Amino acid sequence: MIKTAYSSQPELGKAIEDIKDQLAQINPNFITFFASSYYSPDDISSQMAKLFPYAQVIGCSSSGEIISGKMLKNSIVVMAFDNETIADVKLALVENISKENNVEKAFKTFEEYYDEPMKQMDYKAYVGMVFIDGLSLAEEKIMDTIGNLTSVLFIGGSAGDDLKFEKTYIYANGKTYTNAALLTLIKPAKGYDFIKTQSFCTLDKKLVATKVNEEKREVLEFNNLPAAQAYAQALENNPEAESVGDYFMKNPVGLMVGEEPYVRSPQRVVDNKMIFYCQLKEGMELSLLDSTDIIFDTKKALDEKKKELEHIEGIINFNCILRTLDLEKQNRTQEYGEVFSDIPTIGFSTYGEEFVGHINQTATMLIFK
Amino acid sequence: MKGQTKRIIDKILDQESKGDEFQRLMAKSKLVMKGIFVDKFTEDTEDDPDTIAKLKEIAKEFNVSLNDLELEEK
Repeated sequence: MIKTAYSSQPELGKAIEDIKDQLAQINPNFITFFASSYYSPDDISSQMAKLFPYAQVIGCSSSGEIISGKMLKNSIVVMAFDNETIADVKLALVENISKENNVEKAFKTFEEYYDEPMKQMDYKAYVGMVFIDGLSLAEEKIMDTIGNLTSVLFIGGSAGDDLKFEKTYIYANGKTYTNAALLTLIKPAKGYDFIKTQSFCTLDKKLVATKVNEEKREVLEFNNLPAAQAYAQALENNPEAESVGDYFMKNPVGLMVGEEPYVRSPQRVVDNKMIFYCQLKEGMELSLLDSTDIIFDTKKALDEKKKELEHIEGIINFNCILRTLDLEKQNRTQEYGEVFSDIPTIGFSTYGEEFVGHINQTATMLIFK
Repeated sequence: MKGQTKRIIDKILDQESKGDEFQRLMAKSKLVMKGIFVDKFTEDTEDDPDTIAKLKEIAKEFNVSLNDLELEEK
């Protein structure tokens, strides 16, 4: 069984009471929650753990929350699972991620707990979730190492702070962490699936990153030209390099795996350099993308999955903040929430999505059967 | 030399996927994320020492042995 709850009560005590009432019918072994940075991080983490003393309780700070039928602000959303849905779960925290990379150490704890090497684990029997400090710039190395060490799929998102860009938080069993990644290895009782959806089509324009500063997520040159200039030339109406920022939301670039784009979104231009929300490597060939309809594409992806699976117990949706901002601009957030109205769903607006690597302008969704 | 790059890529994909189509796609995605554009390499692609070195490093990260490939040493 999966149950969801939410509260937009500004006072934390009342919000916790609210959630308690909504989840009275379930005896959870696992709780996932996303909470606006409006709530005190330490208080919300400890209060949520106190509320569910017999469950593993994880969460992170957000930049807007999602619950079946609604997109919210300044709220808490919660998903409670019982042992009919989650057979087992193990958490491992990776700290000081901006300077170190201790994924291997975290994986050892999974191996000891499940008594199986990570490299040989059956990806159909296990699934991973990853919540990561959204301001750490460490997502790429964490996801790369995860990918090196296991075939188990890790899906997740980068924590947010309501667009303040000051500090994001990870919550685990009553404690609060920054500069950390929380890895959760789940053994779903009835299996899992996923959706990765982004609303873009490819244009017939290629940009090769010929000079980059990988760590700073900067592209200095595309096609051996100053990055902003090359990007401007690739755009259909050839704007001035200074005004390319106006096109970022509609025309990011995609790293293509067959027909599937792994979106890399530009953030800003500094001295003709383009700063991205994720890393690009030197030599990477990217396709210029053009936006399509988020609601239509999400609904289509979900309808296809519903048809394929027949029953979906619940969804955790890691939805890029840039998609949320786009929906807000179009006044369509309610419509987006309604796409999930008939399925128990929680989610949040992320500072980046995790799926194989660190990606942007995408929704990665973990589906429980 | 030609084709060595493609053979290393195939070896990595074979070892990582063990015949599972979904895992092959995931392994391919991981290689693309690491900057290796899998589909660009064929048996006729001229080998580039830098790409070969990068792939050897990636094979090590994946714990894939390339010993049976009889690679030309540069």
